[in-house]
Amino acid sequence: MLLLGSTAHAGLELHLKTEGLSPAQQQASQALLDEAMQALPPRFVEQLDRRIDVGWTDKMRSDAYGQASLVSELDLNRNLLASLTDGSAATRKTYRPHGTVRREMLATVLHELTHIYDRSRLWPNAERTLIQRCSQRSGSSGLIGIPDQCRGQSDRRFTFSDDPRLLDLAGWQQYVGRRGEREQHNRQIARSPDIYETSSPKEFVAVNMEYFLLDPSYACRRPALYRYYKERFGWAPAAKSDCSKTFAFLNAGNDFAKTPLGQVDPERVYAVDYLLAEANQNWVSRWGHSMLRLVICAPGRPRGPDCRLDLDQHLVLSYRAFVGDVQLSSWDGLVGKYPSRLFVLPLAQVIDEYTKTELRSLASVPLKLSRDEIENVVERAAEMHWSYDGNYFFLSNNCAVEELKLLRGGTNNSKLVALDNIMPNGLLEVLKGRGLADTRVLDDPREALRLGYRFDSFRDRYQAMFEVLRKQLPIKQEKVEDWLSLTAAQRRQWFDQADLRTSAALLLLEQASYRQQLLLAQDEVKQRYLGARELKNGGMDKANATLRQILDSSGFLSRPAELLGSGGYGLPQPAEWQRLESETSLRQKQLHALTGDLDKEVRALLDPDRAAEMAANEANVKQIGEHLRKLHKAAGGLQLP
Amino acid sequence: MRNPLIVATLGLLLLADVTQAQTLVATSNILIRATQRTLDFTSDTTTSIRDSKIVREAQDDAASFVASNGDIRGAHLESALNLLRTRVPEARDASDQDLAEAILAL
Repeated sequence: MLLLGSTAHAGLELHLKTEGLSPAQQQASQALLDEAMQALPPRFVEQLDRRIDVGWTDKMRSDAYGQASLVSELDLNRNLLASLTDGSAATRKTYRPHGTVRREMLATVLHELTHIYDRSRLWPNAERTLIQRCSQRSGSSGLIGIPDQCRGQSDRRFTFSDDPRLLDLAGWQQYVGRRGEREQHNRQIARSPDIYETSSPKEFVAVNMEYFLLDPSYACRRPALYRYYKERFGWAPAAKSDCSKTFAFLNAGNDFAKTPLGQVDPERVYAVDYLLAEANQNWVSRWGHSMLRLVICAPGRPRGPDCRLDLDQHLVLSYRAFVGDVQLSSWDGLVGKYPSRLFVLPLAQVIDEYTKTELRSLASVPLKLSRDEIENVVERAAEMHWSYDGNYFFLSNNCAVEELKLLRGGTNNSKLVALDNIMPNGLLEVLKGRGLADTRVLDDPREALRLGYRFDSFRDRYQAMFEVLRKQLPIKQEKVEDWLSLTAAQRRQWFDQADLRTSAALLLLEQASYRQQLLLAQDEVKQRYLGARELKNGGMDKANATLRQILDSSGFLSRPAELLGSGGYGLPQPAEWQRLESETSLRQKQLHALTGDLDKEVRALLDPDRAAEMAANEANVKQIGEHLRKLHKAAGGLQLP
Repeated sequence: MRNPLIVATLGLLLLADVTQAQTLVATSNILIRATQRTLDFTSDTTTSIRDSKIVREAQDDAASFVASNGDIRGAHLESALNLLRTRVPEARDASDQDLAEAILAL
């Protein structure tokens, strides 16, 4: 009996310092403390086995709510006592996610108690053993050669706030190549409930505990952190919102006729691929560019390998720098001046950009992830899409690094935890080496092309088309470049003699020529623009103003969080989607109009010869198309309905 | 590592489909419009199979397939062949070559 009696006393006890308080003040204060005790996880109360004295003090900044001493005291700001006592705090709004002054006070008690808990090293047994083992090891052999699972575990001092997993989720990522050392700055700064959380991991843990305990929508807004706390405490608050099954995102694709607000249903994601663009000589892309591809099944198709060909559904996650000006300075890239963000793009657009415009090929390699890992990567991507606003260092914080962080944060896969890689092409090798990427899909190049594991550069195709041409027609040119440097009028003379097969080749070559013309024109206009925009009356004022407006108003696609106002935090919830929908479609309409204006203004700047050649080239494309259709019809070919 | 969403140049704006930079946004649009008017016109407003995105996006692959006598067979074409065979009765028994020609001749 005695034994039972004494264990019943074990656990946290909040003791109100009543000295100098009126009975009403005592009663209101006690009610607040009781409520805080009710809100805490049972394991927290049980483990933090001590008495903590809580008092009101006026020795505090007037705008602070409260603070905790190192171990056993908690002070609240006396300024707030009156409104707590007369009940007005319960209705006075704060315009922060907690809502009212009284909710803020309750959150303060929980926040400060969490600091004490965090300092008390209340690790579960398995974790404590691991920390001890890792600390001994690093003491004897140093950081070099530490086992993967010891990364970040040696010499830990806090229950939560130096846990590697927490730091991954919170946004203090591992530096690349420094054996687990953490970055100093947290860049998950958009849609934060309380930006104070990013000041240090300790504050992050305490702030998020407030929302975990008090906000039923926390599970939907920050699902990964919700699961983290839930797992640590083996418990979660009873009040929990029903979360939407899909994640909202802004599609940054260039189809302005469509609303950019999209939804991803993780259930429909069949696989996640590592998508690598081969390098070219452009200095920003000398190491290739890496992205992630979400293989999403068409509506109604059961999840399975067939989804790999639902190409119109697939999305690409790409970390790119957003630059709001016309020149990219290499110096700025190296020092991290460009903001880096996670963009979501349609796969078809990405394929076009690389294979047709940049003439680079793409490899798409499935990552070997479990079902849970796939869904968590999608969830993590959504979280980063809305919260991350990073610095893009071309060399050290490049896309491969960002992708690695995303995969690590999403999966917590032990094979990823200790990866140190810096370049996109290198990352694929490492993923393969660790059995995380299945590069066998690339072994047979034809099958890889057919099934979308490889997207070939159109450079190769143009060459192949030219070979067809040479076989079928008595042309004199020996290289594809020579053919393309003929005028449109010279090439057109051959059209009438072309059979269907040759016409198909001619069509692609006309397109190649048109793209080449566009590049040349682009460069000419760029030179004229850069030369003229500093000059007054350079003829560019109007185009310049329109360009400026487009840059300004397209910025929202790269800063999706700005569209949502300050009411919510984390992943946008269904109630916020409506506003998102109307905001994005409004801006989209403005952009549509602006681009039309600019088109007109800039076309006028083209060199007349260039403009004429482009028009002739366009006419060629049309003509060879008509020729093709005529041949097809004459041969009685199948007509699609 | 890839370059930025650069809104690189006015030229880029003019020439959007061909931007060397990652014209995420407005940038690409103008020229894309301009090129698409001639190269291919995609519409989402109709449910007709010939206007479906999958089929339209397969046109370059179809041209490569026809010109190379089936040697170059890209994923866009593969996807469109599947779609046509599930949705269009007369496509069910048609050969890959016939379907590729039909897509090319749209």
